Amino acid sequence: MSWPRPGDGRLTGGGDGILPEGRAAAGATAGTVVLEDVHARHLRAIATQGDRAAFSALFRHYAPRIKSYLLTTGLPSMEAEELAQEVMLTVWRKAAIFDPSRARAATWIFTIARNLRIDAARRSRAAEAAVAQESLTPSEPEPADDLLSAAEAADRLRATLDTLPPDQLAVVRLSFFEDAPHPDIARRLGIPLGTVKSRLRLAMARLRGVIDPGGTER
Amino acid sequence: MIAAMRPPPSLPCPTHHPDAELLSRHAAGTLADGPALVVATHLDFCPVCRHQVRVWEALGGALLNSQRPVALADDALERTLARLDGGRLEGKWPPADMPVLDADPVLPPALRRQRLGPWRFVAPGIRGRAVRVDPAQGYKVMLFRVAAGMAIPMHGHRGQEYTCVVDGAFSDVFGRFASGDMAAVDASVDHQPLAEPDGDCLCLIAVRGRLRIHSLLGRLVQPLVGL
Repeated sequence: MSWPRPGDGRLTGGGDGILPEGRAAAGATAGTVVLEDVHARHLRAIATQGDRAAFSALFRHYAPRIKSYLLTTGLPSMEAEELAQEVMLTVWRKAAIFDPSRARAATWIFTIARNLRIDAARRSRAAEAAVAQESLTPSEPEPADDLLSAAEAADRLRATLDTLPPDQLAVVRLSFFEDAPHPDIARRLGIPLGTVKSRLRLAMARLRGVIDPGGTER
Repeated sequence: MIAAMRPPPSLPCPTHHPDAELLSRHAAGTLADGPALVVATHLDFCPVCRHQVRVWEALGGALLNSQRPVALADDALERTLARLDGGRLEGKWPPADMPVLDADPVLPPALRRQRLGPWRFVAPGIRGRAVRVDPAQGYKVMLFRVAAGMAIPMHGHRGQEYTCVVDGAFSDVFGRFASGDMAAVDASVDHQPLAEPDGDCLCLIAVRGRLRIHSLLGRLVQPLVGL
């Protein structure tokens, strides 16, 4: 068995999740696709021309959402503010790595935010600068078949998310982003524990149907 | 969908996988470092689970897009623009800040990026390397090399335990675990995995709390090696 050596193409990863969702748009709403295309073009303009106007446009869309996400994960407001700017700075620096045939802009930016949040949590625990953020990133380029099916799944997922009732979406959000225990979710949303469980079950049943349609034996 | 996926050439395709919950927590970034590293090791071997993680990450992207915006400080954009230097990556690969990799070529990329201690004696037939993770999260991570036919030191543990075989194979009541195969078991499981007789088994183990070692001698040396 031989592992790829460092420097062999993308095999050792770049620290920010290169995600092969592809550009296939089947099943996505037109608005989502247009937005994604615009964001991908902005990233390209940053990478090729250092386009500050494109960066500003991305910043206005994503920075307030990243801050909101970081608040959801329990970060204090000041830190969420600082880290959201840090994430956007990383988007600027790494825009050349973004590959629209492999990743949606929103997903790519999410993985950057996620990784920086993990690093910040480590720092705040005053640990030694230990495991690099790279530990999270998948490493191999995928066969073309995978790219296609991942693209379809990602778009169906996005479309499914759009159809979830807001109360189910809120439970999914807390459960996924924060890994919050069900009683915590119940307390924060002011709903009974049983309701949390049933909403999550309903939502996840629909999302799982998209993520893992074959219900592979796991 | 699954049938369309192929393992990369020369790598075995694992048969024991993390469950959907572990994969989704890995994608969300909510796993502790220890379990996250074991899952990342499995992902290096497993195209099927890499695909699943990407789809979960896409859920993260979609949730991010639908997140209710929270205003930043009025000058946040200006301040960030002022910090944009010339420091863009110009499509270079790998980036200059790549971490130094461990020299052992048998280790998958996820592990080679970690800071690994030296090999140390653990018990007869068992050597171990500590993998440094943030101790504040309560996990210990060890890479064990277990001689052919020996029992692997993983039973009677408290809390969740995560294992991924890196090289060689072991067998227990759950079946045969070879390169890339991953197991997540809780404290109620008292199994006795044995390295297969035809070669050493190299496996990564993350446990919460202390790892208990089978053999009497292992238990005697346990305090000495700090497991």
